[in-house]
Amino acid sequence: MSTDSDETKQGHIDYHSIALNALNLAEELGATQTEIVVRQGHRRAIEIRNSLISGSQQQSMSGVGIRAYIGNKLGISSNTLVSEASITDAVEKAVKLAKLAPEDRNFRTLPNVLEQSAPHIPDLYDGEIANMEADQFIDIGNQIIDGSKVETEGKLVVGGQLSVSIITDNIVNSLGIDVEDSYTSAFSFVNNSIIVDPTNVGSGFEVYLTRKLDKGVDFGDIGRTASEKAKKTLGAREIKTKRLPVLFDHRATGQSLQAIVGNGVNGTNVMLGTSYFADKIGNELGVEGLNITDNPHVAGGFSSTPVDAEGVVTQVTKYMDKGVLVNYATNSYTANKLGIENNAHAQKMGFSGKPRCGIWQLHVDAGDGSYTQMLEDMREGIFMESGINASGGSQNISAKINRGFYVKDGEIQHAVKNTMIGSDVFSFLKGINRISKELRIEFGSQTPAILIDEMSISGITDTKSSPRSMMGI
Amino acid sequence: MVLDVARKVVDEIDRTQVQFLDVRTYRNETLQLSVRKGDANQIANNQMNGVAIRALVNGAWGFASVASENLSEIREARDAAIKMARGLSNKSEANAEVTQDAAFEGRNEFTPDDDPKNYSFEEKMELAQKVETILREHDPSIINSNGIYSEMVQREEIANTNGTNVVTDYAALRLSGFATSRRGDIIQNVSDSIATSGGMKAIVDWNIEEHATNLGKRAVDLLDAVNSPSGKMNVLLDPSIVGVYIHEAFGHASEGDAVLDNRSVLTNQLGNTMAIPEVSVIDDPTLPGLRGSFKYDSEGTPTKRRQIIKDGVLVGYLNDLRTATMLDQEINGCGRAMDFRHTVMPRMGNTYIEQGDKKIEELLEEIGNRVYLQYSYGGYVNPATGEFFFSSQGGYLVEDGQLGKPIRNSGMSGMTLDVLKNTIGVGNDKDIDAFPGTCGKPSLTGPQMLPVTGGGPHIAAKDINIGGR
Repeated sequence: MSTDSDETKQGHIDYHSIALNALNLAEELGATQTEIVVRQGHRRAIEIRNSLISGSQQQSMSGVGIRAYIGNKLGISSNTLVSEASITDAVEKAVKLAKLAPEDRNFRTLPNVLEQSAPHIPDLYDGEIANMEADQFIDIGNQIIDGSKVETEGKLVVGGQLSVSIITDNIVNSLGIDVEDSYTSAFSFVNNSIIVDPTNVGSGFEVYLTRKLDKGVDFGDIGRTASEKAKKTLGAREIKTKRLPVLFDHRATGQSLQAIVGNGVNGTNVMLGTSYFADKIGNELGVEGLNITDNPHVAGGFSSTPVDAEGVVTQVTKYMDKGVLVNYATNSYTANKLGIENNAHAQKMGFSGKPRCGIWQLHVDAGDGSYTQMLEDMREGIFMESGINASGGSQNISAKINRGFYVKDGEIQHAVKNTMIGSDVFSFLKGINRISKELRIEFGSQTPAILIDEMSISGITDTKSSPRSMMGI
Repeated sequence: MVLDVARKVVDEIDRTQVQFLDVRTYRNETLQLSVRKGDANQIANNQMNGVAIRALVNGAWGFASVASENLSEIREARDAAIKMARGLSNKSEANAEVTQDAAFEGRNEFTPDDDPKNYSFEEKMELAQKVETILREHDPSIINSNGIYSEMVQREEIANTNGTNVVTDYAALRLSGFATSRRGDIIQNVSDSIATSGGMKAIVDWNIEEHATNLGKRAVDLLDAVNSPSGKMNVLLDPSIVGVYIHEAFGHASEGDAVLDNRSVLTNQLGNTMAIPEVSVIDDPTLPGLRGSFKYDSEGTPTKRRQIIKDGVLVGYLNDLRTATMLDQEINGCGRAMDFRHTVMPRMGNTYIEQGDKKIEELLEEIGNRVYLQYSYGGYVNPATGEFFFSSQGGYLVEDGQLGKPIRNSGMSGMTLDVLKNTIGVGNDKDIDAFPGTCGKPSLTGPQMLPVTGGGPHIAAKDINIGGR
């Protein structure tokens, strides 16, 4: 299938030609619509274990994924080998499966090429990331370890990783989509523990996500932050079961809304009727001050992308306008089924398979509350530094507080452990009492802090009371 | 032979320069057939082919993977792994060790009890369609129904500088049903499946009619269920919940890398009492045909039954070659890797609590007026702090030793060092693979998902924290 013209004189493989050739082959074999994704890429990382840089790796991320339709019958195939023989085999398998498959009556068409061209989003590809030397990784690792060393009781254990990915996707389909998208990304997470004794272990996690390495970033500070967070959770205690107001810090707000709103607006879930936001466009689901937008065009945003996984140009999408649900996140399949616009939220894990819908990065408008005041005004409550999600795909929230603190008289008293938090998504969104005017803008997202009126906090139970007295029947 | 290639790539190196090196070739083919609400959803064949190379030089690891069968590219990857390891060793105090005394020879080919190749595409498709149809037609309140048939067969060929030469296959077959019921804003999700590594026999023997009908009934009944109470209380856990509970509460904390890296509350706890004497915990990949069963791990080590807790006392950890060497522990074949793009680390296989002697009726009496939790969704743990989370799809209130009103899905939390000591009673029933699942764990090469099972008898425990509304 690949010809001499697929390799330049330097021996570089022309993946775009490979993708186009695969498209032609599928057509020859009888496919009526086809999508080919050829990914070339690799990932490199170092790992910190037990306060030492213990390992270094480079990992292939390459492969080819094929969706072949014959009418409305789909066959999917993929291979990590990108060679003439393997791609020919993969195309043949996809078409063969499409011939055998039952119908999918919901399928209308793969996306067409549209007039609009993909926006140029700055800082999504960094040549420096692509050419990082091994020594640079190690230097950064040592900065993290050194920065993590803070004064503390107990034994500090530093753990973490620095990882960079360099990816080029060629996405072509038989309706004219023809996109080449190259991007880099780097992330570092640091997960530090402080061990006083086996029953008193502090744990702190800090993360840095970027598409372009900022020369000014202080990796030592990332380590230091993780250690300080670990210190804060030493001496964690259990608290009594009761209903309390809950203040979510900026990141916890972002994580929670990304999960709760993300699952709710997910076009696949909406199409199936399994979303708690299904049939609720135009409904006031949140408080009036809640405005949520999905913006994949932020320069250097970690989840920024000019095209989605089907090669469709992305757009800024508003989900909530003054608390009213105004949009879902769709891809071509769900948009066709729902009879609404495809707003380019197709996402895949890797290069193969049928894309689902997903959100990119949320921008939540600021409110008018003072973050400091929101904490100081809490007579008794919980301060959250970790997010929550609805459980089991339902509207119920029954989550563990991974990182939270008991507040009394406006001051953090101690971290909580073995404590659960409960509510439901509607009570959560409608129970937002205050939204901070201060925003945390990082990694492409923007979030305020939010205060929720009241949530169920489960911990130590009064042994004299019956569980039925605590039930929300 | 591919193993010859792996052996050749290993034997070419200068052994004086490298502590340890292994080459693992990998081939995997999966078929997934899924039906959703009466229509085909994913009809997919996926293949993975590549080679993984690890090098240990002066205590530092280098790992390289390449999606290629070309000898020169494999050699390049090997040299890159060695170079990374050497470079790291010059600038880090990494101190990893791997014994040079463990060398294994063996060949384990997939010999199915009933070969998937004997079944046509249509026959496999029909399995998924039958599950889905029964669910969809059970009741109008079931708004989403899924039937999924999946099969995966992989081959790893492992050669290392110790002299190991192993070819080992692993297969995972599964038939699953998922249903969502809805009434107004109340949404409930349920699932059930049969999973095996042995072949098609368990799949075709699974009574689809019975399981799918029961699943549909559960989905509908949950719409009329009440919310779970919240707070710390006595609970009775079914084997599915017990499987996830023990996997999260103890399994991850007993993995050798967490122990060695001071990331486990079980570090330095061997010989200490962790549970009441009636509790013993096993991880056993030698059990035939279970989802977490395998003969050799991804380092070519023969696997074995491993006792984690015996009569309440912590007696063992789960090790790969590195952790066994550095902890001076038994080599017990726990080194698994998701595929060729990933490195090896200690992982579970089939984890369960051994059965006790209490009848379920006795356990219900023991817990008093509390709750009985059933059918897990899964969970997670922070092994360093010992806090874990697990969840149920449903259950019942318990009143005077009798099952009362059904309750909806809920999440629970606990502490590793407390939870097994809070066991009230261990049931005399047994369902070792009550929860056939997929375990995720972060690694140098990214998150790795592996097939596992969890199970046991019914367990009654006190002070489990349930989060309700």
